[in-house]
This record gives sequence, structure tokens and C-alpha cells, in this order.
Amino acid sequence: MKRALSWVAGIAMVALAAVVGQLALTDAQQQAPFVVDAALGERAEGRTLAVTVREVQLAERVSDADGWQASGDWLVVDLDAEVLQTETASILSLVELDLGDRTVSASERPASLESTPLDLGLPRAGSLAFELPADATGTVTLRIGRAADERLDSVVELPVDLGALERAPHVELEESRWAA
Amino acid sequence: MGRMRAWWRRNAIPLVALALLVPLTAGAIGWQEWRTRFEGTHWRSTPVAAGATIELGGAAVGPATLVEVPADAGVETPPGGRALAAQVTVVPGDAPVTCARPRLVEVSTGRSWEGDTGPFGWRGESSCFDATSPVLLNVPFVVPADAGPFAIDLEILHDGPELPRFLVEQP
Repeated sequence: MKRALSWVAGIAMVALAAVVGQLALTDAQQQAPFVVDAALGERAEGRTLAVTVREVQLAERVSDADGWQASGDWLVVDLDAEVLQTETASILSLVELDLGDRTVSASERPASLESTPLDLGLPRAGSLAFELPADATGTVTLRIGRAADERLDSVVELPVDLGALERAPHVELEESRWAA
Repeated sequence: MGRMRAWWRRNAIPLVALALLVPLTAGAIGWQEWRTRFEGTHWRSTPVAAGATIELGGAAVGPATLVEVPADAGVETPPGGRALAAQVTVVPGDAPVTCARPRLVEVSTGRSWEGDTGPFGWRGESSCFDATSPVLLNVPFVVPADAGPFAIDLEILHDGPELPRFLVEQP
């Protein structure tokens, strides 16, 4: 009787260990960013920055205020952004579009808010331009954060349904300026 | 009852050891955590009274003042914002002095502004490197109109851990 009980207890403990092993978070999960869900036209506040995405549009050709222009499949995002704690290392570095299997960073080609320093308490307004791969469809996720290293930091996320957007023949990026 | 008392007596030494070791363990772990934290922080914020001077690395640093930047000075200011200038005098002693750019700190929240380079014709320096003659640091900041009160942090290259925080009259 006692012997049988030992076996049962032993097997139960091994099973429990397996369950705990399965439930334990991986390093990536433990360091995952805190997602702040954003809505179009509404201010979303993360730990270090606040973002208001004002407009999202598709374009066949984009240009900026300096005269640069390019054709292609473009997603143009107009937004206001400010930092909340410090202006040290406050460059808007994490601006990407998660396509599910791939990630597209905001283009560095036009003059935009990409990698511009943000001010504390005084929002900057401007645009971001994403050059889409030809086969990008469905709902993608716009992700905005202060630093490219997003571990354990907050990231503002906005779902964008590419199928629901009109494709404009030409969109001019906003010139970066103080938000009104 | 008698058996109970005998148990306490028999285990007197381990019990005393336990009573000592449990708090000691907690203390040792806590001390280790705080020690790591303080060793990782190589600077210590040192308040300097308004109008006062602090001696660091042989240099006299201060007094520091915060002034409103006149509208015609050419500092671009958005609606809802205002321009302030942090001014700190640094007088080197025998050795040359190196200092970072002053930083504006909101005392109540710890929010901090980095400051801009002054517009064309702006008087004063934004930092100093191996300075041997007196330097006037003068850095413009654009801040929200409702922010404040402020203090000025200024890193001076020296041996000690002091990071002076200048308390200033609010403009």
C-alpha cells in the first residue's frame, strides 16, 4: 500500500513539474513590451511617449515639402507625438508596420517624423511614410515607440485595415511642425 | 504540557540560532540589493541654494539663474509654450574644467528638458571643455507654459559623485 502511494506521488510530481515547465514564460514573453491600444484620432499614452494618429491613407505617389517624391505602394500616417518624461534620447525610433510575417520600418527617404527628436510636453505634428510590399493586404499593425529596443517598454499599436482604405493618386507628407 | 516544555528546552540552541539567523538573512539580502543599487549610481544629486555657488574639482560653479527669453531673441516658441534660458557661471580654478550642457528639471515630477542650441547671435556657451577662463553657460529651453517650478542640473567633470541641482528663482 505504502509502496503504491509513493509511486503515485512521484508520478504526480513529475506531471506537475511538466505543467509548470509549460506554463513558465520564455525570455521573450517576460520582456515583451506593454501594448497601448490606439484609436484613430485619439491620444494614446505610453510610458515615455504620447501619440495621436490623425489620419492613415494609401497613396500611389508621395512627396514631401522639400520636393522629394516617389511612386509605389505607400501608406502615409499623419500624427502628433510628444515625450512624457525626458528629452534625453527622445528620438522617435520605433515606427514600424507589422504585416504579420514581415515588418516594414518607416521610410527614411522623405522628410518626416521618422527619427526626429520629440519634445517634452509640446507635441510635434508630421507624417510617416511606409513603403508597402506589393502583396501586403488585410489588417496590419502600426507600432510606435520611443526606442528601437522595445523590451519592457510601452508600444502604441493601431490596427490598420489596408482593404478598407481608398488609394489616393498622390499624397503630400506634412511638414514637421509644432502641433496646433 | 510537560512534554511540550521538554521539547522547547531540548531545542533551545537551534531555536535561538533560528531567531538570530532569520532576521540576519533578511537583512543581508536587503543590504546586498541596496548596495548593488548605490554602487550602480555613480552620482548623487546635490542641492545648491538659489544664488549660491558650489566648489567642484577646484572650479566655482554657480550662481545659476533661470530667465524668460525675450520674444525678439529668435527662439521659436509654439502656442502653449514659453522659452526660458538657464544661465550658469563656471569659474575654473587651477585646473581646466569640463562641463556638460545644463538640463532643466521640473522639481515636482522629475521631467527633464534637454535644451536647444541658441539662435544666431545667442550669447554664452552651451557646455565647456577644458575651459581655463570663466564661462557663462546660457542654454534656451522651450517648455509648456504650465510646467514648473524648475531646477537646473549641471554635470561637472570631477572626482566626486556630486551632481549639483541648482534651485532657482522662477521667472
